[in-house]
Amino acid sequence: MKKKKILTLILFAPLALAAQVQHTHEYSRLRWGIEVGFEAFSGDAITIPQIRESRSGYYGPEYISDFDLYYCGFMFPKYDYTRYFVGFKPEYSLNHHFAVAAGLRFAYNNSVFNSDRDYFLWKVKEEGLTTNYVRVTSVTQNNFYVGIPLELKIFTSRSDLRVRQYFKTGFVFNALVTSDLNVNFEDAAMAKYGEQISRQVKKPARFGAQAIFGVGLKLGRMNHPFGNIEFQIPVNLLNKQRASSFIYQPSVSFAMVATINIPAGKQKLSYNYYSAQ
Amino acid sequence: MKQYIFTAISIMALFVSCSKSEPQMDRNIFIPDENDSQLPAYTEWGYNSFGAKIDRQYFVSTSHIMPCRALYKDGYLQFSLSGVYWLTYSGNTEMTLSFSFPCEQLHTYADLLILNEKNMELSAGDIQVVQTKVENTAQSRIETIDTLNVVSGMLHFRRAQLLSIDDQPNRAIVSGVFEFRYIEDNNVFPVSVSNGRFDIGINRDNFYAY
Repeated sequence: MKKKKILTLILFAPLALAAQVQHTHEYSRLRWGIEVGFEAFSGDAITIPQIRESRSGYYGPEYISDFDLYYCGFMFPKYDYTRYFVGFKPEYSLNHHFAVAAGLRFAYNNSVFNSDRDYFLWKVKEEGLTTNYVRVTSVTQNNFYVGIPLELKIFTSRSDLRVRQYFKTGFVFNALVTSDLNVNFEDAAMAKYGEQISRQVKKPARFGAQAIFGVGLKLGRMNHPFGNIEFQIPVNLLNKQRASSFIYQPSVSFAMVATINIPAGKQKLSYNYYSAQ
Repeated sequence: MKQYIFTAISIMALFVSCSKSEPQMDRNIFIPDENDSQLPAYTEWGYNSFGAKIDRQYFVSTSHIMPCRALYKDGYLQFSLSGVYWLTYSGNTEMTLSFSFPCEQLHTYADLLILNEKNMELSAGDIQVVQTKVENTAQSRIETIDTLNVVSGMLHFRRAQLLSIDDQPNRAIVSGVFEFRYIEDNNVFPVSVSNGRFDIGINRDNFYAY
């Protein structure tokens, strides 16, 4: 019985092969790429010495259950931060499993700094025995960056499937191009102190470096324009950096990136595959 | 007529709802001391907080008791700190510590700037330290007032400053430290009040002169 089965397989195998057709799939090694995405995290607040509430928090001694005892306004211990970016990033396939990419990225962040109250107090002047606070409702900061991503893509499968998983690693170097600060006052007449407050806060870090680890899906064949969607974990390589004037960059954040690639160049990569007739 | 009343009530409700939140300066802000988190850190921001250790118990400010009152009368300034004195896990005692000392003529809270860098020896004859305790229990309220027999100690106003908010004078901020020892009746050993510190805002709500 067993011998019969083996014999049947040996007889039919050539027939099955004969029923398939060999194809050659070819795609460009080089692809233009346009990426859009965002990086987000929740960063520790930077203590600003001029803010009256900056060191405060809800607090109760261990044996007091009544937290209202020390009820007070406070600055949040953490603030959310999102940096949006768009960039141009060509990609080059080294072989069927590895591709490298490098590009130029423009990033933008808008940070808002406020308290749990309508306003917080900012010390703008201290002369002799007189001190002047102003009521600040919020401070917003716009930061513009230029970045250089350097990436290595590792495809798990050799075949250019329509949906193809890959892993990514690399680096992103960001440089702050410009930053502006807008102070919103409870009393609009205090806008005259806006410039002074801007001078009192430290600028965001001028330079940032991150190692990138990610996973993504390529959507579409590489011989036509195709897309990628990625989830990344950027790891900050520099310690205690100011992401904005009010937030420290944490060691790890997360990012989502979408890319469109358009085949370019004459150098091709090819491989053979079989399909049913 | 009912319509007019309803309209008036509506307008009043609108005004009440539009009123601004309580000024931040009136609130207590408690910044725990780095070395002893039961005590507020020494600050000069007008956090309306104070604290001291009385032997091994804590006397600290709370949000529901006006932390400080200053009264100028007959050439004396009475500077009092009111808060709670923690006795047990379940109960506490309201307590006021008043320092009364000779002072130049004061008319308004702004005149408190004369306290800047003023140092006082609390065992001096013309200075009085009065302790008032109010013990609240379910059944009773017991108030005791003691003029303390201070054997040594000092009250140091490290800084007095006049604070403006949005360019408008708002209050005086008085910050300082204190510590002293006193003898209780029928006791040979002194009670130690140590690590005292205060950072108080004083305006027309808690300053009186007459």
